[in-house]
Amino acid sequence: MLEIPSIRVEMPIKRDSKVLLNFKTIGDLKREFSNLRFCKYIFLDPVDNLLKGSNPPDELPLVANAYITVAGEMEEIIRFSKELMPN
Amino acid sequence: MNVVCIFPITDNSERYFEILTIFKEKIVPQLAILGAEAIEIKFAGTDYVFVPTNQVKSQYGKQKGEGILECLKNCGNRPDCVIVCDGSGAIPYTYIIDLYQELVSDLSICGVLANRIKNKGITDERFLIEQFEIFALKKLYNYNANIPDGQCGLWGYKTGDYCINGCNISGIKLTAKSYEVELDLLSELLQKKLKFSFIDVELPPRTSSSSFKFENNITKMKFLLEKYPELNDRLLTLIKEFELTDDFISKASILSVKNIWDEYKKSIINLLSQ
Repeated sequence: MLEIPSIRVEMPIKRDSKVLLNFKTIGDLKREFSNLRFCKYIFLDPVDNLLKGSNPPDELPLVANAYITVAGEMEEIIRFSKELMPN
Repeated sequence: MNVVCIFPITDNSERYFEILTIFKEKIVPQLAILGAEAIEIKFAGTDYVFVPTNQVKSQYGKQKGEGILECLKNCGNRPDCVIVCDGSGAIPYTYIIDLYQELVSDLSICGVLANRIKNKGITDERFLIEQFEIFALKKLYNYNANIPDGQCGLWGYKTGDYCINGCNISGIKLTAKSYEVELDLLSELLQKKLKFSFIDVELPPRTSSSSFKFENNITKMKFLLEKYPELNDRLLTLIKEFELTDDFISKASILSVKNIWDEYKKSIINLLSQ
């Protein structure tokens, strides 16, 4: 049987992304998309003005102009991608 | 093979869903058959602020080349193969399969470019200037074979250094920041005498306008002149030689094309005098 390649997708969170309205933190996303692995979240933290990166902890806030990287099943990644579309 | 697929995309976040669906239904199964073990998909944005790791947040969005380079710095696994496809939808995404197949079909192939057959998807003026840029590179590196196209937004290459006929050749290193990124790849292939090939792509009629501006032609040539200073002394002669080719004569017979070419030539002469 053909082995399915591992899939990892990096997408930007734009200002008009639905995800900013529907979720507040990385933890919220992890709960909603529990089959996905949230590998990376590159963003400028408005609290301390520092850039954050790999293995994002749950409490990190979702902000615009960040990049989020997820890995997992294509079906679930596609479902997640809908959240990043414009509101 | 670890494959990274990068989609430079301008203000089209609604395309994520479309691109990922095509990956799920068509591209991933085919790449798996062709030996891809891990696939990383990245959307190199051009209209929003990119926040590179450990760098100061920039005020403006990144340009096409910059976005691609940032994606390459930031991969989960070290990629064996990089594929870039414009995210605008102008190039059918399934051609990624053909491109990957071509890339892995021969160990000695280092790069694959798409050749737009029939519809080039760009204006005649822009295509004429692209032809001149390729003409100049071919002359610079005494490359005599035909290069049918060199700047389509679908291309790929194998990463790392190459061992060709027992000689070690340093790998492709892209540095272009904007629309000259395709030209950057082609020039690397020619300069390092790496084997490359083409796949034919047939583009559907273009429905959206391009973000490419006339000034981007000048930026492209400026990039080439900075990367290959030896071109400075030869460029005017190459322009004259190019104007004698059949390609030029047939295209420049259209007045609007000729006018843009003259404006381009004037800008290049200004550039050389700076």
